[in-house]
Amino acid sequence: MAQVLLGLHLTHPKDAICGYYRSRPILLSLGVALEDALGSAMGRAGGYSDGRDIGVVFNYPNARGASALPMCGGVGAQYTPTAGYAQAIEYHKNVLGDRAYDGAIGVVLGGDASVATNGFWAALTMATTLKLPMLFYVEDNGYGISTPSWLQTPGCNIAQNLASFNGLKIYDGDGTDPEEASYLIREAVSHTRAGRGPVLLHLTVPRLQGHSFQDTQAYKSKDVVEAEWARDPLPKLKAHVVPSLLSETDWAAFEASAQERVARAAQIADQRPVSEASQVTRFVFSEDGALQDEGGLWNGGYDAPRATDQARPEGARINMITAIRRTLDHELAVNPRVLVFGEDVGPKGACTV
Amino acid sequence: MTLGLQDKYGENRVFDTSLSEEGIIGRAVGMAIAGLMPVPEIQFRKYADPACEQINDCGTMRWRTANRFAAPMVVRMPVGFFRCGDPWHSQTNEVQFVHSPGWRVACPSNAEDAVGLLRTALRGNDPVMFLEHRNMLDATSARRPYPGDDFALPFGVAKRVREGDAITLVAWGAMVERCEAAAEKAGVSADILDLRTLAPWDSEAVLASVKRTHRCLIVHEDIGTGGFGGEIAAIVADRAFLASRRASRAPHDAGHPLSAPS
Ligand SMILES: Cc1ncc(C[n+]2csc(CCOP(=O)(O)OP(=O)(O)O)c2C)c(N)n1
Repeated sequence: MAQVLLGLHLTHPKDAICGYYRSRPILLSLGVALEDALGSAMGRAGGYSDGRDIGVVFNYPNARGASALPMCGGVGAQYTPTAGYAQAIEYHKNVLGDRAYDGAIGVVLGGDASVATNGFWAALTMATTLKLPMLFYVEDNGYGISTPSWLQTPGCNIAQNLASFNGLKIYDGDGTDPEEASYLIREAVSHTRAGRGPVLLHLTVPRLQGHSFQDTQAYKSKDVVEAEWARDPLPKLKAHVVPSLLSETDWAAFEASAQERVARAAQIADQRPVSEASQVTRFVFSEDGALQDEGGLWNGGYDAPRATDQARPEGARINMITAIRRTLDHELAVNPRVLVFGEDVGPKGACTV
Repeated sequence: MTLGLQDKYGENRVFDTSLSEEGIIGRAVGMAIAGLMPVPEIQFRKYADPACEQINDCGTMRWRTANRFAAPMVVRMPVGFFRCGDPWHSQTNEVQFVHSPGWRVACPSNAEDAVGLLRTALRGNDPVMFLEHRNMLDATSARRPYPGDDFALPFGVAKRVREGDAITLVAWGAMVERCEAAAEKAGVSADILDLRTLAPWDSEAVLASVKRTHRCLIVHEDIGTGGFGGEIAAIVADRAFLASRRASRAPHDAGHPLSAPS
């Protein structure tokens, strides 16, 4: 429920999210087709990877609304690319003067265990030191597969532990309570959008089933499982809107139509073939005449300056350091999208030599 | 290397980062997806280790999204032995990047090639590892006149730096000048090929040369076991030496860098 609420706020065409395998609800709310979501998980042709990845990690190029940067199987890998995207929003605004990026944000989704990864801390440092328009959405279900969250952050609550972190606005609450979750999500998004710096939104949720089909949750006591089911957000949502906003009949009609759509999509997905074996070696590298939908210079209408492989030697012999610097200098001059960064590359001009 | 660039282009375009290589490469991934051409620098080859996950995921991005997304960038880093060695500042280990599908890998041996390969990389549509050999950065033998602002070299085209017919020497980076010096000293008529890039690498040029000389020596600066020299040796053995003895040859299947669904 909370993911869908968050997705409904991502209306800016330059917004981007990066999630993980548990991010399907927000992807559906951004517009990923049900058939693609189901077919990809079945390894079928088409969809978002043509059967090439694990199926539950999405990507979603979207020119009209929020895109989803390609997710990865590795927990924590989603964080730093999102921070990079948020920094690029600033670059588009401040260096390229592109007003289309005004108010855009980067949103990263992670679980409670992901806050122990290097990627989380690297991105947190970047977002807070650079005051990036980035929202960290941490969905805390108390477990990383079977490992309890007290091993991931002391006292289990990353929001409490980061309360005094400079430059980070914290929102913390119950992700199953429709009113509370919707309020916190709205506040968190508008804080980030207003350019007031990064936000961490920590919402608690139950994980109602095992981590995977094989997982019987034997590591949870019966009481824990019962307490989790008591927090199922769907009945809570129903209690919240029926009868105040919807009648019992309306709700039942919604439920039936959702079930029907899913069943129809499953059927379509099931009828899809597996991907064409002869195509499986394509797109390890770029191919002429087949530009990617998102990423890089070329699909933004880039037209490379004329080039030749014939050297026209000029001046005295220079060493490789000067040669590389001069090439970077020229490309920075002719292409405003080129940017150079690293440890000590600024005033000091790199450390190696 | 980047001295003076920040003064000229400002702190938004040339800047210092926090000390996290995962952050440096991950940041570049997000920026590339947003349509920029990031040029991240890693201080030494060994310090790319903390960025392994982002490097690998960046390389497979185009393939695993069936060409929906790509994150072209140019990662620069110094590699190799210079003056004194230690486990942190002397590694080459180019082979790890060649073994990460989706990355193009350049190892220039001199100033002219460095300009040409870097320019191609900066205007390209794939992620590139640009490996700068520490021993060549200020070496007299690596100096060349600036080849011009339009000069750009294709990847995968080796350069014949010395022509000969007694033996083929295959090298790249700092080993090219060593091969030249050795051939000179030994008075051997060596056909010396500077590969210039390892992904892709110019197997055609190597095979054509070996077919003429019937001898091949690969000189690489790396651990003997599992280095890129081993890959070249396998291809040369298969296609040049064994092929001539086999009536029908099984196709060598190591040529296409592929990722497998996990
Ligand atoms: C780097 C890495 N290590 C281990 C795994 C295996 N793994 C998959 S999910 C998971 C637990 C993640 O828990 P959490 O971040 O809390 O997310 P949740 O599934 O609870 O939403 C682990 C260890 C992985 N995918 N990536």
